Amino acid sequence: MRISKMRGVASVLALSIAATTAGAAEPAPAPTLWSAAQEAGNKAPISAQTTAAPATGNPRTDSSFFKTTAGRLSLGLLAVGLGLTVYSVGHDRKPVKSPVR
Amino acid sequence: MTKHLRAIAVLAALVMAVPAFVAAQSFSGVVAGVVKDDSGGVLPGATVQLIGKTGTRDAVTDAQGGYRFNAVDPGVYTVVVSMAGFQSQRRENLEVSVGKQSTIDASLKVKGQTDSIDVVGEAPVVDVTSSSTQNNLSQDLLYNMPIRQGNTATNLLNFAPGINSQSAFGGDGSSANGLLIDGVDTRDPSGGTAWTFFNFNIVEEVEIVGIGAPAEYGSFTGAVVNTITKSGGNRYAGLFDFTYTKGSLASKNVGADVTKINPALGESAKTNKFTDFTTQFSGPLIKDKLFFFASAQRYHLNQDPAGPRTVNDEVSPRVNVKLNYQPSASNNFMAHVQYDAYNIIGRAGVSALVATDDLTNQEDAPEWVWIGQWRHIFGSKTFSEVKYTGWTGFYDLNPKVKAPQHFDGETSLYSVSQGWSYYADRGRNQVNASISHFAEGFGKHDLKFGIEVERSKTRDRYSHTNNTYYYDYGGQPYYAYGYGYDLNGRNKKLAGYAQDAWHVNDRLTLNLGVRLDHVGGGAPGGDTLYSNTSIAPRLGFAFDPKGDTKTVIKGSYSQYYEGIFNDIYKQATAGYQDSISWDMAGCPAYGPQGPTATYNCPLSRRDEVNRVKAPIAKIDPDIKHPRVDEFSFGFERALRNNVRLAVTGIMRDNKNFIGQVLPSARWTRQTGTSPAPNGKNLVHPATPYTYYRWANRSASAGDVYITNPDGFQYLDPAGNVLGTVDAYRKYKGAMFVLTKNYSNRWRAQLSYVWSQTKGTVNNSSEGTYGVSSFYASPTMSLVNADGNLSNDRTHEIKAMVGVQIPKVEVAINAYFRSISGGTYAPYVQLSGSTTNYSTTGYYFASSAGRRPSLEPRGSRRLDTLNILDLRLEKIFTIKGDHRLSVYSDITNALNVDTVTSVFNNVGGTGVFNPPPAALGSTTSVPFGGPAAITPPRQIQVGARWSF
Repeated sequence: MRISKMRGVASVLALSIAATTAGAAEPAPAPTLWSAAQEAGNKAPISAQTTAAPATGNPRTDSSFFKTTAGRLSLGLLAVGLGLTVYSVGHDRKPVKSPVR
Repeated sequence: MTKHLRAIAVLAALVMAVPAFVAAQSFSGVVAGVVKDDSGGVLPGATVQLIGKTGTRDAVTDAQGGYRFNAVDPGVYTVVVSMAGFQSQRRENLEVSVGKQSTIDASLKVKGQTDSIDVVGEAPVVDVTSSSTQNNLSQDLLYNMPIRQGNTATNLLNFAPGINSQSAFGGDGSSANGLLIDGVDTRDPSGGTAWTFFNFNIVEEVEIVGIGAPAEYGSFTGAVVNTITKSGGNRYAGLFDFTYTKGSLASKNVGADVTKINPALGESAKTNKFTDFTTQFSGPLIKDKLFFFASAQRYHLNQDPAGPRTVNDEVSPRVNVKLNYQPSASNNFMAHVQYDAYNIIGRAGVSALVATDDLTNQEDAPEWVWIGQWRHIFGSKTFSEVKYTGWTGFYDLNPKVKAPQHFDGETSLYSVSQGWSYYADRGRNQVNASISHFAEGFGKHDLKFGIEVERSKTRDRYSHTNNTYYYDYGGQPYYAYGYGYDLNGRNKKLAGYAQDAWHVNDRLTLNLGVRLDHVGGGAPGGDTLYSNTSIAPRLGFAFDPKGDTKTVIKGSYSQYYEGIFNDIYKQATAGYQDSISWDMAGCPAYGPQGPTATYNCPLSRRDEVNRVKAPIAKIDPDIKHPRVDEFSFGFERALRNNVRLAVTGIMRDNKNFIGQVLPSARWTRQTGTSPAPNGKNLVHPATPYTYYRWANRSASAGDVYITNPDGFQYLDPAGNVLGTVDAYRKYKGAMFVLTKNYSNRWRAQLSYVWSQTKGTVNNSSEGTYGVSSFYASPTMSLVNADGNLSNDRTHEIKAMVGVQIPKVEVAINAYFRSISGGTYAPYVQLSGSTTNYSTTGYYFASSAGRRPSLEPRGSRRLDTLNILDLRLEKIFTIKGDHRLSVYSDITNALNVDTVTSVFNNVGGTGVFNPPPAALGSTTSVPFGGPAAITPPRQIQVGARWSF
């Protein structure tokens, strides 16, 4: 179990590092969230998810997103996270059955 | 029955009075405004688009130039206003919050050289139409501030001004707050405490409602945490977050002065290891139609608690899946399911400071939570919501050592095992329906009508291991007790409400509402044992004195009634086993190592000396349901650049406390003197005190009555009145809040609250209702019962400040609070034989009923708590709107060692000495000695990628 946990952590870190590289390789010249915020007079807070109106032609609005590195990485991370969580449900929990149950 | 029929009749009339059916609490906001030309003339027929993550909604201005989007989910939007012959106007980054109206007026210019212009307007920071005081925690704030402590809705409460230790505006800290997740009431239907745990990262917005709350909010006497979770949209979005810490990243903050008094605090609580990851992804399945949101988390916290316990290990895997389907512009369906499994080893089974690893249990608590919702928009003025929600789960506490518990009356310490097991089974189903309508006539009206139906179930099973609890003395068998229960409850609630934000004119809004709750409960298949109908008015006003939407003067009068809980009527149901006492003089003695897990004294060698059958309590047919009355008055002013100042005065008066009394009991007033200082563990000066001895226990112990004890009279054997219960809790406070929304790379919320909470019913443990024996004996309820309550926090300063430094792209977020310490008073512990008040004679007695206070309640106060938490975050810019960052949370950055709890038994309280002291050796901590101390500085590190 310890090996599985370590593997999960390593996967997340490795994929996070890959994200930096992958993001840099993307051809889209869209502005960064930071620069966009600056351009907007710094009115917009930085949030966990960008919820503003979609930009026309942004590949994150259709299935072509999954052909990008970021899209594949997202799916991969989600699968890893979901897998670890499901594994945790089945294996981390110590069996408990009290006499009064 | 008559009450029941009357409630149904009133509710039916209420429902029939509305044009159609509809729902409950707010989960959306409103965007509205007026479109004019640059000369000030209104523009009918202009097109207004509201562009959000799930698509675009269109509206056309009416004859007065007005437009309105109702049922707008919280989030960030763009508003585009256009009309032939005029330049269109585009307004971006409009944040819509739950329960608030965002007023976006537009002034269009005749088309010139450009077709459109972008408007960078200030977001409205003051709602000039609401008399309620809300404190919303946005996703932005939750995401950036170092506020990860804990993982329940109650932890979120403490960040709001006026709320500390979950005590909201003087209310009960354990059970008075409504905890809603997407409308699901996640409180324990047995006692009202928090039940469901969830991932902070799934939260879109948290609305904390408590002052001047509209009628749609009910079933609370403190505050409501209305948590809205994230949803998917047309853009794929993700969040991948990982946090970690370990023991070496913790500091030490316990000095020799503390350990000298209480050696058990020698090792302060610290986190050995903490890992928490979240993977989250959302997006469209069908563009503009069907959206998904999925989240998985594994939360693992391994701690070394203060005291002799070495391990407390918690694992909580959680999965959330949410679908939103909008087949047309007027229909929206939402389904959300959460599964989580809280599993813990090393949970203390006795008082935490005296719990060894053997005196702990293992807990398993899986649960399912579900929400299904249909929202229908009838047009720009009307929409309805129907929601079916619920959850089911249990928790199972099993002792680590499968043996009976031993307690030594000489040292007052436990050994061998926690010695009991407990299984709690819960479930709740709710249907909420509401209709919201905007009407014109005698001004303008935001109307809302709704009904709520709840059915919840509880089952509690408890037993001493082998039905035996050993009460030793001097290290040898003395007595033993048998006890257990299997209790079932079924709660019912039927509620309806009507509310109107009546905009009398452009400056004055009257917030009028009324809420009717019919609650009841009883054992499954049996008669209703508790039944109550309440009508709660909600009246308020909001006045904009200048008509510039920047200032509002507001006031309100509200009544809030509690929810329905099994604890209220539990003692009136069957299921308690006999309470048995055995004399153990005939049992074999322990060996030199003292009691062990294998020790067993068979029944044949025990002498049963007492057996008490549980009385079935009667419930006062005229009992009133707990409530709080509230007055508030204040003003809000929009200062420049997204800055809001709010000043609010609040008065709250809790009423209708519920408790058990013994109407036929007779008492004799006695006096005593507490022990004099001995230079060791006795430090409190000898103090005379009064207590009451039960004069006719055997004749009256079965006469248990559940009622509102306020006004109850205790009598002596001759029938003379010894005293009358004055059950009250009053709060008054003045709250100053200065908020600066995010702009120019910084945000802040500063607040100061002065308050006073006095009464005879505490707001930390005695609660508002329930089965405590506080009123059974006058020793507690008549002796020094009045004073400052435990959560009376005279001064409270909270500051949340976030700065994002340019060029280096480092964010510094700080949360500082300075809060007056809680109160306490010394007590003397009397024996059961002295007071004739013990479990051997009265089934529901507890040792707390033998503790006369030596000083008025809350006569002493702990030191002020000054805590600073920090988050430092380095952000790496990636192409696109991806954000990758590494961060570090530093909790208790100043590493303060404030004592947060003390022992208040003047006779001293025993604790185990930690190694290298001999195993089992003890120290008696004197009155006022530290019982708990602030956790030391702890550094966490994390990384996250979001887009």
